Amino acid sequence: MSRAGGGSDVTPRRASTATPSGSTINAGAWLCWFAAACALPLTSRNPFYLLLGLVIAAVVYLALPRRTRAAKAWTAFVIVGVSMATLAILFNVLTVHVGDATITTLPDALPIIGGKLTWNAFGYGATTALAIGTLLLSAATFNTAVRHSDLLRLTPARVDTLGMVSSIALGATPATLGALRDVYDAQRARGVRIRGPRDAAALITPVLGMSLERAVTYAEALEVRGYGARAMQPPRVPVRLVQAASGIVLLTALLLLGRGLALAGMVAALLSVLLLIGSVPPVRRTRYRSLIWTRASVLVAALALGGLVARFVLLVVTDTTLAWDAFPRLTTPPFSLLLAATLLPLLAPALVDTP
Amino acid sequence: MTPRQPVAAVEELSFRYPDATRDTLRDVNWEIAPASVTLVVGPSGSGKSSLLRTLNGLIPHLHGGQLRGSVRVGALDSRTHGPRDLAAHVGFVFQDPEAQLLTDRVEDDIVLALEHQGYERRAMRVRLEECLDLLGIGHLRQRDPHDLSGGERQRIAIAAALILRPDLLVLDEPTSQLDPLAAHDVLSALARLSDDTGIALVLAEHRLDRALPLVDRLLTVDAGTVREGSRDALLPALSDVPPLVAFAQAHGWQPLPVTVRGARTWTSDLPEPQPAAAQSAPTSGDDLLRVERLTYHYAARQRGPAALHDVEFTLRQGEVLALIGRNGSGKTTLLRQLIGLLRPGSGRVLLRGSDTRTMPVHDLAQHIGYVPQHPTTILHQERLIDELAFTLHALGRTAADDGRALLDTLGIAALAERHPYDLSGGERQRAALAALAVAQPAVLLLDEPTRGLPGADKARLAAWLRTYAAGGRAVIVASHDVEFTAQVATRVLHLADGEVIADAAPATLLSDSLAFGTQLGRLLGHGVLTLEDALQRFPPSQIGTHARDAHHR
Repeated sequence: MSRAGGGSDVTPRRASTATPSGSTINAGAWLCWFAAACALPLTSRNPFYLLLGLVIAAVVYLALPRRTRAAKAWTAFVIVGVSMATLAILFNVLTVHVGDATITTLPDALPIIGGKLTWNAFGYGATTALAIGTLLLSAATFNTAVRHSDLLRLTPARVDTLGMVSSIALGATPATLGALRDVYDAQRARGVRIRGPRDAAALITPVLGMSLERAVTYAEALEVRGYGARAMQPPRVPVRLVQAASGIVLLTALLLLGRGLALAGMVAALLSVLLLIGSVPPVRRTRYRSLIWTRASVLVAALALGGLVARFVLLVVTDTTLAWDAFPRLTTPPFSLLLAATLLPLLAPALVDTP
Repeated sequence: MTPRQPVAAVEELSFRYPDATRDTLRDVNWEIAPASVTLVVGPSGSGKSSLLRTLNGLIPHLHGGQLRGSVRVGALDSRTHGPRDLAAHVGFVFQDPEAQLLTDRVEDDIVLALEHQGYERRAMRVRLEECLDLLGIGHLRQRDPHDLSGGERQRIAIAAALILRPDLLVLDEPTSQLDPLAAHDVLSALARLSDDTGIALVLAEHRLDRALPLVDRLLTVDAGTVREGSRDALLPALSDVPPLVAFAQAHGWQPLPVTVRGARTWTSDLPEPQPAAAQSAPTSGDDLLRVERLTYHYAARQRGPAALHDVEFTLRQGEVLALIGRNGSGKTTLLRQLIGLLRPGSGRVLLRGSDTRTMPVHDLAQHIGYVPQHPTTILHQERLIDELAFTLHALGRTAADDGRALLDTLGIAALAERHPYDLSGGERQRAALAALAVAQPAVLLLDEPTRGLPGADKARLAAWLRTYAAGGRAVIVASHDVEFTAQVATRVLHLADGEVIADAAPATLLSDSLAFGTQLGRLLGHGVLTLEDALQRFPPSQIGTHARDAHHR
């Protein structure tokens, strides 16, 4: 059942789905791209692949036609993230005194940092920094390219709470950065000098307070607009029964994983999640704008997912690997041209996106 | 629903927030009639926002707490139906236009509620056009709401609340963050809405001068208890009325006029005013701040229009300088320049003759106190009283006393032990002011200090600021609040597009301004701005006899 209302002789114009960055690729395709882009840093510590992933994300980010205010906030976020990742390298080198490739040795009398400094620790820190940088840049690209409202529309009606939480989280990043800037300025103007962790409370508490208040107002605004309203029909199977089944399947998944049956365990875990989602009473949702699958959108989505599948197949059927570890011995990371080639489709948005 | 049935009925309602020790609302009974327009008034922290949130189930469903009694909207009881269910019956508009924007395109923001109610696209389109026309925002439909002015954003929020055609629209201080013209736009839109659609409106608002003409009912909230009645019946009993109404009360005009137009029927036969009292000229002390040809661009390499352009003025001891102008005219940018958070692109600022471009912000903070627009940005201690000690510690000072006397002067001594985040908006404003003023800086900068403050607190604040300046210091206030500006300022600087377009005494500048004039100024002319001025120039005995006689004739 849906509401008609209003006049009946009005032909709705096809609402445009142009994105804030001026991108011609729709939110669904960008979501596929984002998932594929994040898969690499989440599964690999090989610096060659990570570096390639970082470069690809940077190229796509720079190729986006226009910078919005939100995009600028993400730029600041990336800068902060990369700075922290760089600090992580320094922290690793100075505190992890393990490995076979020594850079130099600091006197043991020095607390914490005393001992040998190793290239192994540097390698570990650098790959971690590369992974964080790739994730952040991919997130920045995705958030610059899509409208949050389009993402809200993509959220399945059954998991509207997840949509609300995601939307708050996505909006929170630029808002938190804005709050941090305002609080920093206000405290400086009060005479506060932020010189160390002890002074950080003057920043952190107001930023947390403001972010929390903003999140509450945002949630209120969603609620009063009826977000997630109208359970249209009673569930065919009692909710409790489906939830209980979901719990049993989850336990089975854990057992399978514990016995080393990874694939079966993951399938069972997925089934458990699907059952849990299925237990939510159905909600009817309509869309003011259709998701228009332009040729560019189809291409980007297909290439992103195709590259991901190709990578998975290569890993299963050949002896190539995404893994690399700097400890205990520092070795040259393995590199496969074929595996690297599966990352190149992620460049598609930079090549096909011509608004 | 028959026309006589209330759109909402509140019965024996009491509410207590989680972990609170006392009820925020007590035994509230209230019926909202169709097509009525109700103004909710009361002191800061009295429970107005809480009461409004019970009407659509945000309380208790989102905020928790203990609710007794009932709120019925149409056939739905808010105890069993949450805000999602009540959304189709009650529209809600929040105070902050920025915080309630959910999407980045005007059209999308407005239709969001319809998508979640399962409307067909055809129906959505019809409703959308209807709301765009009703609020006069059709030309903004494809814009990003974040790029629009505060007034435009607030009208978008109203359109989004109306799209489900609710029987009741609730607005929580919708104009508190807007300049006079934007506030006028929003209230005009509400008046048109009420006239055209017959929707019931409930409006909490501190700017009574603007809101009173719109409403026919009043509801007063004081420490959780309420009183409701017709505007004309309750208005005389209000302790905190706009200057125009207070002036009318002083002269015994009945019924009390709430608009300048309404009051003109009483003043048409006025005799000539008494001569103005000799104003004691503000102590013209030494120069504290001198701003010389200050220009500033936000964009890199000085592209685009300047946020400030060739701004020049001098601030002397004893002065209270008010900055007025529309949203985006450069008021906040100028304040941030003065405290050193921004540095001039060209020109300079001199503090007692020293160029501030070479002074770090923490050194400037020894002499200049800056109270930002959002008080939450500085408050972070466990108790309000600790905020004062924290400022003194940050500035390397020792406290002469613990600051309770200052809190008392600002009317928040009773809140000294409370956590700053537990305070209402108006209380936080004063808490932030106390946290900065405790160091007694030579220059105090305040950005929109009256947001959320009722009239009595504004008058108290104005008096305190003038006393503060009179002690050899100076104050600069950026404010949209014309009545407050008239009370507090010894001089007014009018900014437009980053330029100073006028710099004059309040009596000259405000009485000659259509947009920034006070109600009494527009009514009486002759340079009258405040209630004090008006009563001095037109004493009750004089005007009472003439005007009442004229009116009866």
